[in-house]
Amino acid sequence: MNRLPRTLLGLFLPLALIAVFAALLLYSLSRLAEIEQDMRIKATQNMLWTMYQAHSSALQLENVLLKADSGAVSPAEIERRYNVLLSRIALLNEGPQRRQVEALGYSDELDRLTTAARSVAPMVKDPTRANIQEIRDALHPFNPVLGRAGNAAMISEWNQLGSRLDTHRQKLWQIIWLLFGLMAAGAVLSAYLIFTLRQSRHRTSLLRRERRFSELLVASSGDGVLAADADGRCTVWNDAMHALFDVSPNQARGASLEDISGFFATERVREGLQRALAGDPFDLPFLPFFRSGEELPHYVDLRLFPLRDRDQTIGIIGLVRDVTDKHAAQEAIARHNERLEELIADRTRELNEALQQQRSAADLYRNFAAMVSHEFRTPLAIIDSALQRLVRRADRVSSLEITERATKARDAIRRLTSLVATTLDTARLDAGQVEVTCERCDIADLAATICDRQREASPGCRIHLETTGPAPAQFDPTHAEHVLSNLISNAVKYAPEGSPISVRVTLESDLVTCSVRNETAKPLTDDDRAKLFDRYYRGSNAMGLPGTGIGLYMARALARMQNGDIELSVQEHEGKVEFRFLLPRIGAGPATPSLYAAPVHIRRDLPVP
Amino acid sequence: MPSAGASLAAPTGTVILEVEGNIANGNGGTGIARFDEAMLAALPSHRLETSTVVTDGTQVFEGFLMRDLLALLGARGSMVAATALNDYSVEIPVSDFSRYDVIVAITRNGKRLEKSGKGPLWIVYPRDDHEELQDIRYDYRWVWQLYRLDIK
Repeated sequence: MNRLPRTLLGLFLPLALIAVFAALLLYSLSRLAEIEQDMRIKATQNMLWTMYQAHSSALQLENVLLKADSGAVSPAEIERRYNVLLSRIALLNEGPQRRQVEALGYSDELDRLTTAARSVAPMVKDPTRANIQEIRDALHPFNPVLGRAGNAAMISEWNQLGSRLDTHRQKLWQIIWLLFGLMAAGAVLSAYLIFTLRQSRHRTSLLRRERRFSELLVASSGDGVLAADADGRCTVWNDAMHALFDVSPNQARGASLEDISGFFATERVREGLQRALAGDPFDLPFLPFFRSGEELPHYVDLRLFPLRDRDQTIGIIGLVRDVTDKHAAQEAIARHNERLEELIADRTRELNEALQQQRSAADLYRNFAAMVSHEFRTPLAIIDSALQRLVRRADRVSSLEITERATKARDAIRRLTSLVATTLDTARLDAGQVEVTCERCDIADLAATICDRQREASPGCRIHLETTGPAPAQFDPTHAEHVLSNLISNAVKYAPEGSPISVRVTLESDLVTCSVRNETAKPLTDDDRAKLFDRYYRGSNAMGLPGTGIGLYMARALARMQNGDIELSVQEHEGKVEFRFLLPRIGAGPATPSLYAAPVHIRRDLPVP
Repeated sequence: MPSAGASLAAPTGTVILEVEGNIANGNGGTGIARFDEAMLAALPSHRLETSTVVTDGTQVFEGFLMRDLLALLGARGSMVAATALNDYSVEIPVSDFSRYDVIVAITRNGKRLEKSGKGPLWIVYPRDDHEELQDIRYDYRWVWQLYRLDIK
């Protein structure tokens, strides 16, 4: 509120004072010029002298005429004096002098004198005694008239002089007062100047103090502070910058920033400097910065601000903060996060696996339940019906029929027992209670034994055994027998009535293979092939045939426990299915322990259960 | 212009102007030169139009330059004392004549100056051409009824 009037006063007061000063000075000068003009004295104003000369010339002529009486004067002298008098009269009659005479009130007298003077001209030419007397008579009034006129001229001139002096004095007094006015205006102006000078000094000292304070701030700031002009030359470089860049303020000031450190020549910093010089503040976070002699980089935040003067950018101010610790902390957090993510991924995978296992287990029990409900119910129904028949016909039943019914019931019971045994076997297998004791045996002998037994059990079947002599291998005879029995009984079960079943023992470089092949009426589907070895899985061709879905699962598990395996090979075009029981061979080639190190299913790249 | 040392012809008519003093060429004994009307008329004529302090309006004067006369006489001096018929006498520095075209007028407005007026001769300064000449210290050098010059 108060600032604007004060500024206007500060502007207009000196201007008004200067105007007053100039006006007073001009007026004084004009007054002085008037006096100067008035000081020129004109000769016409010297009437006293003119009157005196006229009077004197008249007296001299009279004097000459007096002497002429005694004949001591030449006529030429008389004429000369007469001419002088005439000249004086003529002068008085000339314009300026004539006006003065009129002003004095002597014009009539002058006219009379002129007439008188001119009238005696003929007498002057002929200066006889009588003529001289006449001339003297004519000159008689000249003396008193010119004397009085001289007095009047003197009084008039002195009056004029006095009045002129009065005027001059008056004007001089005016000038003196004007000079006082000038002095006063000058004094006010000087006072104002002194006042503004003191204010200016006060402001200067304030500014200086503020500058010292800001210099102190810059110097004591923990952050690096720098400033540069529009050409990129450093103007401010504080102690923190010294510590950071190892360049002292004295070295830095005046030098180009790019010369001070390569840091300022990097592409991002250079772009930032250009942007700031164009007028936009610019932040550059986490700039790597290599100090001389150090291998690991420091990290700094560089903030650039344009330095403005009115509308122009005259330089930049830069704040540099060492954020190496912060950067390290952020990296640590990032690493930690990464590890956490890995951990979460692992846990998720484990959980997924657990869930999968859970689902498989659920499937397992569902399949088990289905199998039990079906496979256990059938023999029970057979037993029940046999017994019902015997009960109904108790009075007329023959011993033959009893035997037949009892045999059916026993078969069903055996199947049930077998089912229970198989289920218990699986449970033992799951519980890890199945023990494997491998020893050197001949698989060909074992195959022959099982084939014979199968022929006895199923008299209608055609089993052909092919062997190429002894086939020694390392296995557990009990388990191997279980496996082979399973494969051969399966073949008998699924082969069409009367079709041949081939059992062949072959020796390969490091394996002994016992393959069981049978023909099939219903070919295996892709789904069957994928799941055939799963527990409780029954193939699409098993419809209507008794079975638990455990046999192949169990057979493969036992084979693998002896470092062997079971493969399925489908000869689709021939309508044949072949299962191969693989066992590690002994006595063929270099018998190396490593042969047994890796199980067959791994060496043959078979699916892991 | 007659050369220095050559004697001046003697006047044949009435003498109008007498020059005395430090001159080389004379015609009336040592350091004396006398001029009649014809001799003055023979000098190079110079015309000057100026106002005067004793008349109204500008006047046309004709006569000869004072410096021509002094050169004709071979005058050597710093001051010239001019004397009028009424014995009025004024000393004029010779430098005036070289600095200004000061003439000795014979006619005013085409009429011969008369002895009963400002004649026979009138020293006239070019008052209107030079401001410094408009000063009473020059005004008193305008000698009229001039008849005699003393070169000192």
